[in-house]
Amino acid sequence: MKPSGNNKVIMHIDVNSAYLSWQAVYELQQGSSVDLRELVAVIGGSIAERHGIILAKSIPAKKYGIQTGEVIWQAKQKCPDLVVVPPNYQLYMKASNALYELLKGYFPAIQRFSIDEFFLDYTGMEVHFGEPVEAAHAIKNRIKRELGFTVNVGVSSNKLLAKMAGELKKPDMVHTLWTHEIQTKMWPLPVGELYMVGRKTNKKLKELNIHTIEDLATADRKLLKDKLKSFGSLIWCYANGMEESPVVNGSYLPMKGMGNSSTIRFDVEDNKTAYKILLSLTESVGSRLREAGCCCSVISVSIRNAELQTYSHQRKIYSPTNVTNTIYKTVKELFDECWQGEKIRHLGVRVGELCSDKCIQYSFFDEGNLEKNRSLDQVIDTIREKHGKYSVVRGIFTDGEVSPILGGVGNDDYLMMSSIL
Amino acid sequence: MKLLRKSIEVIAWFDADGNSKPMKFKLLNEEEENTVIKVDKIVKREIDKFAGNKMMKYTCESCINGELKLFELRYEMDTCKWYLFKM
Repeated sequence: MKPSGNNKVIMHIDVNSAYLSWQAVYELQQGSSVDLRELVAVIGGSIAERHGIILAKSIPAKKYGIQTGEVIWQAKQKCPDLVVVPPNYQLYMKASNALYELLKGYFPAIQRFSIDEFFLDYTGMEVHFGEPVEAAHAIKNRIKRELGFTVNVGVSSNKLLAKMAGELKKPDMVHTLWTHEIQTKMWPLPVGELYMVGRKTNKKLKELNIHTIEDLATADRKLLKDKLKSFGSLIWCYANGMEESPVVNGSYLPMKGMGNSSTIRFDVEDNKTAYKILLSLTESVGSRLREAGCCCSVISVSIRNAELQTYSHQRKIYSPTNVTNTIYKTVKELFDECWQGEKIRHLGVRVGELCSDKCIQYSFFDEGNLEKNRSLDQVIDTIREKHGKYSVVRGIFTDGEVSPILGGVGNDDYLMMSSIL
Repeated sequence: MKLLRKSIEVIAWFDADGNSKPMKFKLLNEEEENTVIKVDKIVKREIDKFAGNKMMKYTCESCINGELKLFELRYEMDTCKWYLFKM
């Protein structure tokens, strides 16, 4: 059963339409008579707030051609009776944690890849739970029985193949994708199905006449490297099932930068309102930065206008900082420099080049009241931690037009999806 | 049993091992009066962890107005709320 050469066994567990399943199961537990999973239903933001995109869809909704990431009104055109349920991130975190707890009973090393995906190392565990496929079935069925939702389990010899196996056919299935099965199971798929190949890469590959994973796997690696740089090499390896990263316990990822952005309920036309939104985004970025014990040296602002064009502007600052006011000052400057005066739909603040906040080199050009600002931030963070996020807010936000702290999913423990295996 | 999902006031017994046992609960009857129903017997106790939301489910039996009735009480662990779920 197992492939030769590599004797690792990796499993990938993926919750089927995670948000929707969790919501459905929760509602059933609360006594609802309908199962969202059987309706044409989606989890989506609110249209009035213009956060109206689809985050998850049921399998019947998929049949209507409704896609994740699509705007709700478009989906409603495809199916007028569409049921839209707002997201409940706290519930999803709870469900994800419950799944993690269950898996911990089996595996010593679990990598939480995102809120609904887990990588597990099954190597050498046959003695305890039997053959990998049998064990996968047992785990899958136990999840269904105890937690009420269904998962797909992919079994293979590395993380990439396990993940690809999990995507094969849904829901509630176990698939294997050993190295000898790559050609029959993975190669016939369209290249867009391959991990890391998104819309943009897909387009570039189409131009190279690469349509299936097989085309990519058999393509000239040098050509790909020339066209797509090291990324070309990476996806070529992936198409050939080559990937060797270990299952890292926990959800640790080296952080390179962080940012928050938000689509605004209305179009912003003046810089005063834009400043306010930027400030509220900076508030959340700043507090995340301090919580992580980091300082940033690069600050960037991104703007999406009403025509949906996006552009950004960034700058390296003299000395690393995590002071909200200092970041905000640069954010304002950057915004003034790049905004072309059109209507704004979406704003974002990002920081990069992170370093530890334990020791910082000051510069001549720093403001004099840096230490005061730093202690101010510290006090505010402590109060917010103790009495809630909105316990202390800036006076400028009291008119209620803009939320005082924008961005994020409203839950600090929420696990984001990453692109690094 | 019919689905009710009513929030209720409950007196429960928690023993030293962490087992819980609802003793009696208060319910508004048709005339908007409080009636207290004593839980005579717990037929079944199980934990429901659907979607990670922990709920203790108790299938109970009581004599109400001279009639033996079966009903289900639920205790939601995160919110510490009791429900008369089905009766």
